Amino acid sequence: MRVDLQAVISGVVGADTGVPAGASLRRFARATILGSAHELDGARAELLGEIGPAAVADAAAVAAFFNAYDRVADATGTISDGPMRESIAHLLPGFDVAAAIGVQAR
Amino acid sequence: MPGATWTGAERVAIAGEARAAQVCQLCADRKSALSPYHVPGEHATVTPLPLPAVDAVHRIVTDPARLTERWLSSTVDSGLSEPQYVELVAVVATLVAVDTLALALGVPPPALLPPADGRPSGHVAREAVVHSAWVPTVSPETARGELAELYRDRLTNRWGFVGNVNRALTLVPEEQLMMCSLLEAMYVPMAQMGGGGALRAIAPAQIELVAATVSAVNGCFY
Repeated sequence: MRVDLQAVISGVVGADTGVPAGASLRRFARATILGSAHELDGARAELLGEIGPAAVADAAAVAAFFNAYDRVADATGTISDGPMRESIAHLLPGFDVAAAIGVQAR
Repeated sequence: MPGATWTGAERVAIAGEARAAQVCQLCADRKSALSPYHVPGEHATVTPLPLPAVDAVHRIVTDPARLTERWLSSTVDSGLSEPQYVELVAVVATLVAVDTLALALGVPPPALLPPADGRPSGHVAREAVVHSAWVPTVSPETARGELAELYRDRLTNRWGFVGNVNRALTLVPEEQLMMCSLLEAMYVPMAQMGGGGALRAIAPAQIELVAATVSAVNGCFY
């Protein structure tokens, strides 16, 4: 499988990431965090039709966990990992993660 | 159950405050302000927790990406100890995980259980130092006992290192242990992160896509 990492971090929900059911998964994840009840119901129904109930349950669990773990990282001021930064530099030469998501690096 | 620094009743109060934060007008005003640190007012608190704890819970729930080291210092200066703060972060994160899962699945969030009696254990990692975060943490190299086992057996990823976020709560070891259990239940065990394991009904790339989307929406730099 070839995954378009630029598309993954682009913030464009409909972008073709190369991940199976990627657009529906992103719509569901985004609606879980930001969406109205109506948007979330729609996104869940779309994902359910595409990948089935067990997969929706797993996607929900991952979204929920990262909504929590982001708070652990932010609230403790955890700095990013050297090996992770090196991987990003290797995979996406010249890519500025902080600029891409609109935050300042710690 | 009592934690290391908070009683059971206080931990339930922290969880209740985390739910109350979602409808707090001050938090909404701060969220929409250019800077959340220049909007005065009082939180819509529902518990007798000390004000620094209430403020910490509300900010972590509603605007975590704009927390600062300076704010944390002032919070600690105003009477909330670092171990109390770390335990509070863990309780809030657990509540957020549970409530977000309920939301995502379209079911009501579970009721908070009545607190158990008992005194806080006082179990804090005295060897923790400020290194990879604003709060003190225990490094994998200096960890002993249960933390050493946790790092070795459950928190070392398949590339052979422990991510900084996976040591963020080690000042209060039982909270790091609890968070690790949550991670394994809702995400994947660290040793299988990004791998081809068959633990889940979605593929590793799909798992990481959901995780990356949530973190981008939250504006989480880590």
